[in-house]
Amino acid sequence: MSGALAERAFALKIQKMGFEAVTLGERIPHGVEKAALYPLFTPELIQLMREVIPPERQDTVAVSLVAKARKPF
Amino acid sequence: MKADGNKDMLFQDEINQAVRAAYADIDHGAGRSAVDLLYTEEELAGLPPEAVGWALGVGNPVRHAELRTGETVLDIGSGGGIDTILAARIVGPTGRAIGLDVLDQMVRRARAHAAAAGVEGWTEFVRGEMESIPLPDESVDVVISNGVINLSPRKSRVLAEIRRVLKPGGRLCVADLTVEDELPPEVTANEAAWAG
Repeated sequence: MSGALAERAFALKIQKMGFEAVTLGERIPHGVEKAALYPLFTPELIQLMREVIPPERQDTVAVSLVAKARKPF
Repeated sequence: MKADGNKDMLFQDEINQAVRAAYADIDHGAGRSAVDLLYTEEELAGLPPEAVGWALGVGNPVRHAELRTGETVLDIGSGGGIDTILAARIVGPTGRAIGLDVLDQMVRRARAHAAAAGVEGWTEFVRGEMESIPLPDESVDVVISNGVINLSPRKSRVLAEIRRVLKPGGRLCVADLTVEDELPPEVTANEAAWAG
C-alpha cells in the first residue's frame, strides 16, 4: 500500500492518461487486521502497523475503490 | 512535480524487485475469510477452491464491469485467476478472457484453475508486465484489475498501456487501494509495504 495514491490523484491520473467518463464507486475500508489476512503483508509489517498507526486509524489504513473509465472513440 | 508524480519516479527498480520477490515467495492467497468479504456465494459457486484460496484482490471489479457476452476481457495481475474466471463465465465461449501476470508459476496455477472451472476453452493466461502488456493495439473490450496497479511505480505507464490495448470506446474497471492520509514513515519505508 506504500504505492497507493490518494483517491483524487488516482482519478486525475486516469483522466490525464486519456480516459473519459471517469467515475469512482464502491469503497471498502482496509485496516490492519484485514491486511493481516494477506500473505504479502509480512507478520513483521503487521506488527509494525499495529504499533505505529494511531488506534483511530487502524480500521481504515487504506480504502479500496472501484474506478471506471472509457477510452474515447 | 506533484507528490503523486514523485511516487512514480522514485526507486522504480527497487520497488519492482521488492514486489516481485515478495509475490514469488507467497504460498497461499488471502483465503476464504477475505474472499467472503468481496464476493457473493453466487459468484463463488462452482469456482475451484484453489482459485478462491489464491485470491489476493481488494475488491470485485467483475461485478462492476458490465461485461457482455462475446467481449474480450483483460485481467491485469490475474494471480490465481479468480477474476479472470468470473469474467470468462460472463463473456462466454464467444468471448475471450485473458489473464496477465508477472510470475510464470502464477500463470500455470491460474491455467489449472480455469481448466477446473471449465472455462479454459476461451480463457488464456500470459506472463508479462503491466507496464508492457504483450497484446496488440486495440484488441480488448474491457480491462479489469484487482489491487494491482498500486503496486507499480510506473502507474502512468500502466494506464498508457491499458489505453493502447483497449479498443476505441473500451472500458476500464479496476479495484485498487487508495490512501488518503500519509502512512507513518516507518511503514512506507518497510519493503513489504510496497508489495502489500
